[in-house]
Amino acid sequence: MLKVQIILFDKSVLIQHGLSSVIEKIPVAHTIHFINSSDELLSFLNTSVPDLIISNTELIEKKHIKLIQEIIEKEKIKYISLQTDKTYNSDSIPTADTIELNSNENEILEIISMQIGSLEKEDKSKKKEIISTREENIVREIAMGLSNKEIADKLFISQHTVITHRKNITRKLGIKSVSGLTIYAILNNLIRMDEVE
Amino acid sequence: MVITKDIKMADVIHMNHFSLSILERFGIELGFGDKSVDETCKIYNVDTDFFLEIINAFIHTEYFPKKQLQNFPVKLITDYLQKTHNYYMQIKVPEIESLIEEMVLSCSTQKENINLLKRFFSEYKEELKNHIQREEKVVFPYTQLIENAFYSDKIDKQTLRQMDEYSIDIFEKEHDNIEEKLYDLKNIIIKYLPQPNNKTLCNKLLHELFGLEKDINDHSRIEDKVLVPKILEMEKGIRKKAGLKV
Repeated sequence: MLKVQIILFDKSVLIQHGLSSVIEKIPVAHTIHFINSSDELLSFLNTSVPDLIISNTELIEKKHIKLIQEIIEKEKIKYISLQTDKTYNSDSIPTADTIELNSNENEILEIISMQIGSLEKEDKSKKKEIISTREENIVREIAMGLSNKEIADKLFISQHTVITHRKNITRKLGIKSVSGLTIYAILNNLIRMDEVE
Repeated sequence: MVITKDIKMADVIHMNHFSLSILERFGIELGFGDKSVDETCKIYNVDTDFFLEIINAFIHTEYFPKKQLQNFPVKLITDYLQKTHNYYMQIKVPEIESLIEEMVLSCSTQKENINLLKRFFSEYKEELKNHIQREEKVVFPYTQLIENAFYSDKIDKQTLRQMDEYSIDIFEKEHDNIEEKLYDLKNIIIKYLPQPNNKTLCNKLLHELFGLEKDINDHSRIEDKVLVPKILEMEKGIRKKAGLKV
């Protein structure tokens, strides 16, 4: 999937950098945009659509709230509210989750990972992967070290069909070697690293 | 533009800086001022015509006056090929390895994935090493044997027997695509690897891979289009001289 675009909106440099160093630990390609003011947030949203906003809701100016809320709802952006005060609750912006300032690293990681994870799922259902499910299965078997004959027997197809599939896979992915396909399979979660060899 | 002996050596580099690696292989050092290709080659005791053929073949993939290159002694060609082998194993491969190593160390988000690349490349290195060893231990000595026999008046039985055991078309057949894995590695990085946080390193690595791939392609081209036809021709000649069927 494409890189996850994350907005971090808070006035405090400490919070911005602290959060971003936690986000770095999540193994998903992403870009973090630091935003310092309500105006800036609005103008960012007017030009591009992030996947996730982590923002201190208190810092969003009253006059902007309605507009920002509309954009978030329209574009289905995940919104995590950053809260300093538990009692404060904005009912205008639909929050997917809340991070409290006294949360520990694991709690924060869990909250953000969950939101990013749900993004990935949506992404997968949205656009089908470049290779078909059948081809994915074959890549899986190749990565496990099976020969054409073994794959054919296992999937109840002819060797000839396996070869045709392999040709198509190579053409689509631009990867020819078995070890190259293995990396592809791992990167795309078709197999786990410990399943190889 | 085809490079000729009167062009300034400095302009050759300006035209295509990848040719630096070729100069290095011929032992030609920088600082040639305004000297021409011919003058520079003479200083370093390099056969100017041979240098021109190699550098032109390198710069223009479509340029290949095979006939002319085939007139050079086998030794000159295999010496050059051997130098490119050294360049790969002693300079390029370690360079790429240390780049990948640097990526592993400086990466906070993609360590596991970069380690996959590392493993992949070390597999590739083994393959390249075997490929090179085979050429240096089997193919190159064989080509020399054929050339010697071709120019001698008497063809001994020993040579003919060796020709029966191994002939250059075996090499042609088994000469596998050593660039294939590099191509895969490039595509994995370009298309599938989630971008690591150190993008500069990643781009540098890609750049190096492209460079190595081009160089190896060029290298194989010289083997397949120059060395192999030359030896095939000589094998025929030897058989004829020995009164065998061609």
